[in-house]
Amino acid sequence: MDRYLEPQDLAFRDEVRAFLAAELPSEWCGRADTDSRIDMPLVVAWHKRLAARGWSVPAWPVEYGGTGWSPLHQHLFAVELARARAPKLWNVGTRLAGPVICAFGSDAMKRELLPSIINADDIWCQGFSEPGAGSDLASLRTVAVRQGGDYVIDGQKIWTTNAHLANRMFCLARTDMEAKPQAGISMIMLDMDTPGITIRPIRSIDGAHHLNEVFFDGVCVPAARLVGVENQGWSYAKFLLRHERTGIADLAATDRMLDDIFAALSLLDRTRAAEANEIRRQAARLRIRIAAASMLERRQIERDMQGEEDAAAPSMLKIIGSELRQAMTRLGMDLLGEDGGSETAARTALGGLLRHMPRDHLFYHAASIYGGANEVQRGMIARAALGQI
Amino acid sequence: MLFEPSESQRLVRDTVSRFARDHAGHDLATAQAWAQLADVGLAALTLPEEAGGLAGEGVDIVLAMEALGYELVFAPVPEFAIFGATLATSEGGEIAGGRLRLLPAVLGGGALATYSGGTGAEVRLSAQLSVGYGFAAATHMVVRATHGPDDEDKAFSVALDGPGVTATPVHLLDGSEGARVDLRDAPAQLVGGAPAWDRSIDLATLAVCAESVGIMRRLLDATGEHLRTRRQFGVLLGSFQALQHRFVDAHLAMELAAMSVWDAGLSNAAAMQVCAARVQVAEAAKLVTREAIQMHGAMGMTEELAIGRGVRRLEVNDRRYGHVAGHLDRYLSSMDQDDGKMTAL
Repeated sequence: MDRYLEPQDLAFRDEVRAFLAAELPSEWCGRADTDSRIDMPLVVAWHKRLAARGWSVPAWPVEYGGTGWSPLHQHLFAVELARARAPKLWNVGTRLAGPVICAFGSDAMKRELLPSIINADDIWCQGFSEPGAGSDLASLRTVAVRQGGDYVIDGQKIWTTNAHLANRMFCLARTDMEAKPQAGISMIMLDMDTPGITIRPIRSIDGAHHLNEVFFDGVCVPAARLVGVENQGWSYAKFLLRHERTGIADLAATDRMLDDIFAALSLLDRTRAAEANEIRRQAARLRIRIAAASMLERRQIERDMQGEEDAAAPSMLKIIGSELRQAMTRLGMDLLGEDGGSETAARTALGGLLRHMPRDHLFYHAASIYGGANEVQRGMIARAALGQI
Repeated sequence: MLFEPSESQRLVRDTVSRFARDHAGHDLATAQAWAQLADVGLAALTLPEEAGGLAGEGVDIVLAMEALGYELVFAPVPEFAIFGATLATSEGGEIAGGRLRLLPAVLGGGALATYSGGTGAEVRLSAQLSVGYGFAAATHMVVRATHGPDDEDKAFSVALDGPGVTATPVHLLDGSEGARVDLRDAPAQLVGGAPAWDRSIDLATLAVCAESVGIMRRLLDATGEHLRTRRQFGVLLGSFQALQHRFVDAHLAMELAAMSVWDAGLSNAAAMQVCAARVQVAEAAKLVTREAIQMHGAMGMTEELAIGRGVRRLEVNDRRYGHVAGHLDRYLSSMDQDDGKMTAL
């Protein structure tokens, strides 16, 4: 956000920009800058450069390695990374597992797990969704039974993004079969090379392998890997999902995609002049909407910094951000015209500029599903606005 | 703080809110009513302090107009207090600050008035204005005219009770009185250059947008209340998920529009932000209008509820100071001037 910044904010942003100019190689930019195109070796290399500067886990408490930046500066940092088209970071360890461990983990767990998140020596995945428990997460059926010093886990997870690349997982499992659905769930940190874990790939419509099924067959995990208190996993998960939705709108990356669309528009020849005019007007409407959404984001940050809780704001930003991303790739596909029909880059200047668009377009159908389906978010906003009916 | 009004801004908001509650649901469009608005300081909202004004800027305009809109108090504040006062006191403005009620004549399709005689500051003009909002209380009308292709546009004022002026009253959709105005060789006085005119129009457009946001908030509050209390099929309407989700979508559209308008207010009505606000408000108004009526059912079609009045005003506001397509065009051309480097963030 360029506008409405105080001198100290501009100075901070300049510091980030100077760091990016020095530490982010230009050949790393634009290759894997969205979550549709996570490139794990590149992520690790980039993450380590951020860690060397002390900037890999900005939002954590300072005592565990955080930066102490205000929410506004954390936001500006994320915007600058996206604006530079830096490799998209894999945030499951830094934004989800880490904050939960900082808040609820034992001292031993903090010592064991936090340093390798900070330095990207570990890659984490999220073991939440199951075949019978997607949006309705509380109906999950994977069980963890206490046997001596271990939990023995049996069951199945699904839609586990990058499980095949991860070495650790935070996992929700049922530890009390008698309790109400939300009350009998625990959170357990497990290693992906533990005997009894089987990973099977799921290929998605964008042609890539991000998603997996993960099967647990008598998987033994030391009880010390239980987060916090047994049967309190649901409250930890809610804490974590709030973190997941922060910044999920990723407006800066959407705005960069729009830059590409405006640049590509100038490449259309005059046989498509009328169409170009129509697409340009739609693109302008999207830019206006992004600007409005970024003001909403700033309002949420301001309220956050004043200690006010706005229950509906993360859900609103999640819906708006995902719908903007989808509208953007749809417009990109319209602009590509015939070139949009093939999976790989067409050998035209237009196709080159928008080479990622066909796969991104397919991938981002998921944006209104992941991070809590948009229908679930709408339900939460309605409850905040109308009360419990 | 970007979103918390300052002390003086809160004072404007609270004063106007109190006034608006006292006049809730009323038109204040006559000369008499204008005196009441002047008493509460609205007439002098944007006038400089040395002219006895409050020296209000974008955010003050937004807060005042949202407050009026929320209580469905409709008054020609954008015309007289914003447009007229800005033009009268801008550099090159030739008329004494704020004493005249200047009505901006935004001619259709960006057309200009034509010269039919005279030179310099005293000329004769001809023009046809299809709708003058706030006509009932206006004393003068301001039109934009140009001598020839090489000359710059300028703003001229015409006394509405002078020769060469024919006015035909028209009933506007919101129940207020407007007029079609024909100028034929009407004597006109130079009041400012094109930049002053543009600036005045941008500020007035911001005011109209803010009024629309206030109206939309009111419509959604009323709709939310209806969903919470109306029973059908033995249950509350708000228990139906289809209605919840549509209500949320209308609410999201309104919030985005409010953010665009706030942005335009913070920028003190920078041209690009005003265009953006205008586009976003128009989009939201369509959705809020449709859902507010639909969810109220047949009652939403009547004059019995506040929403009928609000919906009709939104429709009128969508036409004041140019239609939305023109604002989108202007947004795009400012982007071009910016060499495409602008960013939404």
